Amino acid sequence: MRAEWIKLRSTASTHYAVGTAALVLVLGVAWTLYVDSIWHERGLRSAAAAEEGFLPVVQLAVAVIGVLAATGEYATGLIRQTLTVTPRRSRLLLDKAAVVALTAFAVSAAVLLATASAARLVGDYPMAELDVAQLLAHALAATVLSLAGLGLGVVTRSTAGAVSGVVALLFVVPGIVNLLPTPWSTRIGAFLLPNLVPQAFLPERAGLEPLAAIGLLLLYAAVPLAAAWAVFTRRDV
Amino acid sequence: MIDVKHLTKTYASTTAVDDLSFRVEPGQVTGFLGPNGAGKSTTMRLILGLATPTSGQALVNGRPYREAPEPMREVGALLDATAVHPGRSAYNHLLALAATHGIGEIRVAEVLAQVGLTPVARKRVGGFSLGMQQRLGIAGALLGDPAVLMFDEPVNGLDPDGVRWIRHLMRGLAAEGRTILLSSHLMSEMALTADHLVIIGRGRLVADTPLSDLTSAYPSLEEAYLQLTGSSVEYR
Repeated sequence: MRAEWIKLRSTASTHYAVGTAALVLVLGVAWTLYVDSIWHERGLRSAAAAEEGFLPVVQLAVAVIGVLAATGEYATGLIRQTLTVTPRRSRLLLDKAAVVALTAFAVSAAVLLATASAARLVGDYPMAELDVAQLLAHALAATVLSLAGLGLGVVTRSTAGAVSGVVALLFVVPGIVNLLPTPWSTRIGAFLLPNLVPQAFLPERAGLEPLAAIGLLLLYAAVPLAAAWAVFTRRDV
Repeated sequence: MIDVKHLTKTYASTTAVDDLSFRVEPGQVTGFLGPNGAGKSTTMRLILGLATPTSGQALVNGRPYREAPEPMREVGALLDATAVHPGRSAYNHLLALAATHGIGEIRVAEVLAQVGLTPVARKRVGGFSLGMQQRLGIAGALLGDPAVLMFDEPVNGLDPDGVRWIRHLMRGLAAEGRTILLSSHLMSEMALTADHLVIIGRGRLVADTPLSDLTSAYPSLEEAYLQLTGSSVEYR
């Protein structure tokens, strides 16, 4: 596991991804100051808090960390040396998943909490109260996406392919489902990744039970990882 | 010791390795020769468990490599020196490998010094010449101080100084009683480095013989190699 940690922290791409996520703090403060300057004259009752608006940026950034943990090795051919020194492939995949999950959760939780606190510190406009539990749930969703990225990266062995998969989960599929006729858009929409955390915290919005929503969220990580395990333990490199 | 037994690897339409058997003994440098596409790299990947054989098996120190309790301390391998993450420093590359076996920073510094990369240890590998990458790959193979070492074309890209350095390194490692399997296309270099030769063509064994037998039967090793593999050069 330590080896995977060294590999992760010693590549520039990881730094860029963490930097992108951290940029949300700056963007969030700018957003808050902007809304502050206009909400009075426009008579806004409330506006989205900064951490809510920039959530997808954080999610995508940590998803890329997960993808590159796998595809970075395939693209360079390093995977052969990695498997030479650690031939136990299940163990290797588990270690990779653990390092990716811990990093993704730490980064997204830190960025979301910092952005939310900063927004409430500098902002005067009416926004939702700071809910640490919900923020941590959003960080969990980002972690899930990162693990899904790792799984897709192992299966596709292609950065472009795996990032496309993650973007599809986050943006494309929800976009298409939104266009379906009304009962179906909400019915299917309830099962989609970006809608799971809100359902866990706003059960009155009629959809999945909070526990079911969190369980389904975890499946979004478990299924790609299981697929990754199935091919990774059998495939020649 | 490496023991290859009736190893066969078939891909969809081609047989890369065809019922190949040979042993690589300790205490000597075994040269692994064959035309491009003869199956040398595939054989090495099969020995390391990177690919699964269609039939037959390869044993390292008496068991399949994947079952080794501490793989890095048994076998060191350099398959493709360019297969490194270009953004990572030489030091971090080796440190990550070392961490898999609880090998410390002191040993990492040791092998960096041994291959002469200490001055550039903190530089990104992406900026290395092929020769420097070869040295880094050799450092990685030596990290675990293994008794079995496999090198696939380590001489490529090295300057004359580096070529001589590798020759002395290989001779020295063999003299310490280690098992060395070394592939190369440079016959003159192989004649100076190897004690024993395994020659394959089209995935099959062509010769498994002491170097001296070949050089006494033919005018030169190059001549011997070309005559032995002449019938098996064919691009697939």
